[in-house]
This record gives sequence, C-alpha cells and structure tokens, in this order.
Amino acid sequence: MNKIVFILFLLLLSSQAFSQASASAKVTSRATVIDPIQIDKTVDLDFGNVLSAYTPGSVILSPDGSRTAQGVQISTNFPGTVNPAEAVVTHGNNNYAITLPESFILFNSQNPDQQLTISNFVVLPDEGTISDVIKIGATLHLEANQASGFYTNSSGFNVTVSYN
Amino acid sequence: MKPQIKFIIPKKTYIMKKITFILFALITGTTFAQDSASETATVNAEIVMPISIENSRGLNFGRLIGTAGTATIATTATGERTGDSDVLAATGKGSTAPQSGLFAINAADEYTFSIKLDAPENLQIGTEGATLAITFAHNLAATGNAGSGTTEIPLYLGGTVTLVDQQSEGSYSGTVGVTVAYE
Repeated sequence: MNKIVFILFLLLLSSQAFSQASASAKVTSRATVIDPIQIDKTVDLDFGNVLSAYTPGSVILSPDGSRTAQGVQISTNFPGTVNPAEAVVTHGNNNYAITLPESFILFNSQNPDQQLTISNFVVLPDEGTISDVIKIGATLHLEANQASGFYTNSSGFNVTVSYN
Repeated sequence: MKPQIKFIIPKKTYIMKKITFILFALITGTTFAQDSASETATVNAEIVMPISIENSRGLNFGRLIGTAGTATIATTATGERTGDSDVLAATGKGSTAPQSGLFAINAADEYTFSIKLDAPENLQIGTEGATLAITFAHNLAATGNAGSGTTEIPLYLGGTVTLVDQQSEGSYSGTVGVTVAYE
C-alpha cells in the first residue's frame, strides 16, 4: 500500500515538474469613448394669445414658430409671446433619437380645474457637427367656451435624447 | 502517516489577475456610460375671452309725418330725435317713444375690435310694401375699439330716415346686423 502511494506521489510530482510553467498571448484591445449625450433647454414653448370661441378648436404651433388656428382665432395685432421650444443637443456627431410625450396638460393659473391639452409634438432639428439645435412645436386643443386666462404647467414636458 | 498535498497559488499571479479584472471592469464601465439625457420645457398659453355682442333695445324713429324731409336718431343713450319739423310729429296716442338701438359688447381687456354693420338701405312695410330710405350710424369706431374685459361696452345705434312727399302711411321695419371682431 505504501508503495502504491509513493509511486502515485512520484507521478504527481513528476507531472508538475514537466508541465508548462508559463504561457502568454497578445490581444489588441480597442475602446472608443464618447461623451455622454446632453440636452440643454434654451427656450420654453409659448403658444401666445388664443381667442376662445363658442366651438372647440386648436392651434398648431410649428417648430418654425408659425401658428395655424382651426375653429378658434388668433389675434394678429396681439399675438403675445409665441415661441417653439428650443434645446441644444450635444451628440458628438453620433446618431440619436428624440423622445417626446404623446400629450401634456396645462392648467389655468387662476382655476386649475380648467385645463388645456397639448399633443402632436413635432421636432425640427438644425443640425450641427457636434451639436444640434432642436425646435419643438405642438398642437394646443381648446374646448368650446374655453375659460380665458393664463395656462401653464410648471413641471414642464420631458424631452429625452438617446444615442442609437 | 497520510501524505498531504498542498496546492499553492503564487501570490503574484493572483494579484495580476485581480488587477486585470479591475481594469477590464473599468473598460466595460466606459461602454455603459450615459447614453441618454432628458430636459424639461415649460409650456404657456394665454386664452382670451371670446368677443360677444347682444342686442337689448331696438332703434325706433317714433311717429313721423309722411312728407318730404328727414328724421335722425342720435347715437347716444337717450337717442334724441332731430329733423325737419314738418316730419317730426308730436307723440300721441299709440305712438312709441323714439330711441336709439342698444347693443352690449364684451371684449378682452386691451384687445381691439372692429364693428361692421350689415344694414339695409330701406325700411319697408311688410315684405312687399312701400319703402323708406334709411342710413345707420353708431357711437363707436369702425376699427380700433378697445375692449374692457367683463365691463360691457355700449353700442348705440342711430340713423336717419329720408321721407318723400306723400310717403305711404304704415309701419316700416327692417333688420340691421352688427358684427364685432377682434383685430
């Protein structure tokens, strides 16, 4: 028995003694590091002044800043502050996607029960090399006899940009 | 005595692996760097009250004598009547008091609005009877009238009728439309 164990021990030692002591291989590693995508809002979205009507209607604010009224009127003499939303997207010349909400609610500052709905957000990018200026328009929907007043939503609507 | 076998891992090699692993983790971390960003924008809209106009009193020239001449109702609250004395008759039994027409306009504060009359050129007895020439006037401007919020703006409608000699006797009437619009 002792003999067998001794032989086994020798075999193991012998095996270690003749095994490969070290090995090496080379591999080339590459990594492209890009800056995180970034978005900075520069202008809020303002539909300006809209004349309420006895019927429902809507106002389309295009990303270029033009307004089109359907079923309601907009005053040419007193348009108020009219601006599409504007933001700078820093993308480092990489492709990206823009995500906008489907709809958004505004509340009458004097009577929050009175609401306005916004939908159909539209984006117009002014493309640059490493950053774009994106302009965002939308459609404002008015009910019949929509109560007059200033409508807003301080929480703001989200614009998300993601690398593709 | 049982033989013992110890497997000793060289410490140096182990540390190398650890360093390699950490480095690999760092590189991997770079791959998952921030790939999206969000920003919020506020939305504002100013809704302006609709403009409205409501008639509360009709224009009335009262009783006139059917001879050539004119009668005018002033565009004031009281609607004074003036004209040729031959035409103006004293109010008598069955006559109605001359008065200006009255409309109430509501328009948003500081917004301007225009006024347009859709006025007939004649009053008429019934639908096929004799006619009486008329012109209309009001106390406001055709354009550039300033709204005043919920405070009503009165529009006084007056006018002048021109009678011919032997103007047919009867009750003449007509309808005038007044349209107000934001400018």
